[in-house]
Amino acid sequence: MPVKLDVSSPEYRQWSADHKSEGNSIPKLFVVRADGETLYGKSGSLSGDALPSMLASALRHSGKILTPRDATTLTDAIAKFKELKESGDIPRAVKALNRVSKIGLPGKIESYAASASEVNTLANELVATVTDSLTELDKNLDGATGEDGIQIRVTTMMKFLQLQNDYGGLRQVKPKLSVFQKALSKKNNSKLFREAKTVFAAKQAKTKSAKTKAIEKLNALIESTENEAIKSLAVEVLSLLGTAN
Amino acid sequence: MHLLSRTALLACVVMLFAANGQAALSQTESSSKKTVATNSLEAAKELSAASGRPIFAIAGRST
Repeated sequence: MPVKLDVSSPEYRQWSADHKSEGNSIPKLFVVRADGETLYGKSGSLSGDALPSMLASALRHSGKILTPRDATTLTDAIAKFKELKESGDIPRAVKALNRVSKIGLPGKIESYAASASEVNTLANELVATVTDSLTELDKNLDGATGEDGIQIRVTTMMKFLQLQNDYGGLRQVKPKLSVFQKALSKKNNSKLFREAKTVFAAKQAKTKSAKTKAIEKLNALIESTENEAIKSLAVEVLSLLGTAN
Repeated sequence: MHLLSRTALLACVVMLFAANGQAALSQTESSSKKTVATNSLEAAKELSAASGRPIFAIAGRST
């Protein structure tokens, strides 16, 4: 993106304040990355191989250059993501962000274009949300002892399943979710986790046929479970499904 | 050294950027070439932010 600057213009005063350079003579050459970082700023022209060499080096540190199509894909994904997140549909918002994966992994797109940086920020915020939530759930599990222990474990499992449902589409968090799930369902918790999954899946039923199947499964679970916390949760979801029908 | 006498250098820069193989296509490309003959810093900044291309600026005295 070549541009010439007049050193006596007000815009150059701002430019030289934003981009530090060596030397006071003119001409001055600058290479500024798309995010505003100064890659090169020096007085004096470059001769021989020095100019192509400096430019090649600057380009190596400039990140991926987007095609207009890439740029549109990114801005569209950001708009869709924000719209869906605002409406509370996190799984679809995550899917919208994943649409840019041909350009790069959201959160790790190696471009300094504004849209790429925004996608990275949004994805990294989602990763931080999941990480914080898992830390919180882990603390809850540590306190799951005594009389309320099972109730706390069931509540934690339901919260985890919601987290997995919402953010599971994000590639960077899959390993963390997987590790937590293993810890959550190990040893004598495996049956409890299976039952919690049945209740959670029933809660997600949207269509009439899915609700019918969910009701059948919940009724079977209420009959078979020995766990009061699961039973009362299943009854609660069953009543919601009945109301919805 | 005056800006107008740097035309050859700027032309060389444009060729190098284009030859890099990472150049954005059509719209962005034609817009960036226009900036060679203008002093549109704001346009250059906008295109740079949109495409991820760096800005190559040469500062001198206008005659």
